[in-house]
Amino acid sequence: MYVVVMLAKELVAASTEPLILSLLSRGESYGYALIQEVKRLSGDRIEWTDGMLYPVLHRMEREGWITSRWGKSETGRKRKYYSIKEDGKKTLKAQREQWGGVSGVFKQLWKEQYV
Amino acid sequence: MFELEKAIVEWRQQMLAAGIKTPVPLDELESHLREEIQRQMKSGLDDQAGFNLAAQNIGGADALREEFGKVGDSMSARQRKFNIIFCRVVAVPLGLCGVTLLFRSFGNSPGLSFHERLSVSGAFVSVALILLSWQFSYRCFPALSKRTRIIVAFLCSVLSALCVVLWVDLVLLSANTVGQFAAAVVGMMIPLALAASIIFGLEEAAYRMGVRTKFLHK
Repeated sequence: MYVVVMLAKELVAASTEPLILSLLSRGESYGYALIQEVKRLSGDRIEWTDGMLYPVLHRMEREGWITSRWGKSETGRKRKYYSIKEDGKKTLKAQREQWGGVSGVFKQLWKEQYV
Repeated sequence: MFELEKAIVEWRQQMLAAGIKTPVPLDELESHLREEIQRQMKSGLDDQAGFNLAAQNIGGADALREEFGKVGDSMSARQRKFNIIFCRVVAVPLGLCGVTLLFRSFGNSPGLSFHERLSVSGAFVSVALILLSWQFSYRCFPALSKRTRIIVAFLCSVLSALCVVLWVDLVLLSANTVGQFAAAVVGMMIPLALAASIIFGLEEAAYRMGVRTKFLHK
């Protein structure tokens, strides 16, 4: 049976903001779609407690990284859409450099050790 | 017989009772809940099982309220930027005044004695340093809740105002020379700067601690 190795809690916590920013940099989206997209892209390794995404989104909006608007879903129900702002793009760029730095170190180390 | 709409209304009431505010974020959470129910029903569950699973996935009301509570708890990045710029804009000219005065005292300085100039200059530089200090001293400050910070800020303001009143009464009014008067006026700013530095330092400590909200996963 295929066992999915879940990501450690701390790693999920640290990657949440850059993940949201990266997804929103591809275009406007809403909470539910963001969660589904992260599940899909991570092969179910990253699983958020659904409701907990919203406080993070609200805090990021308060920081001025993203903005929101109420729109309508395909079924006509109201839905809150989020999009990235200039400050968010700058933050994403800085976070990308940090994650790239960490990932680069691991790549080098693990290549040397033939893992 | 299970009624989906009734169950959603009850779920909303539970959330409201736990302190989740409406319309934001409760409407947003409800919109999420409905989409999850739809998805679960598409994958074969009946409406009751779909609702139960979706409600479970969205998380408990108390945990959600706690996380939402943290959003407004520390100052925003914009407010923080303002605090830093404000203190620098005020502190740098004051510090420069102090330093200039010290050097000018060696030249032709009618009215003020060397000691008086030293006092005024020292007071200027102290105010400037105190205003800048919180950007480093926040590390020694605890990350307090918003409520406690408001109380501390209030007490600091009252205490510093009290100090100013006492200062005026005991020092300013008993100044005999222009130099003593000038030193007393500038010195009056020290308790105000101290209060501001403590308030900004506590805000900074809370901001640094709250930058990463704990993001739980199952």
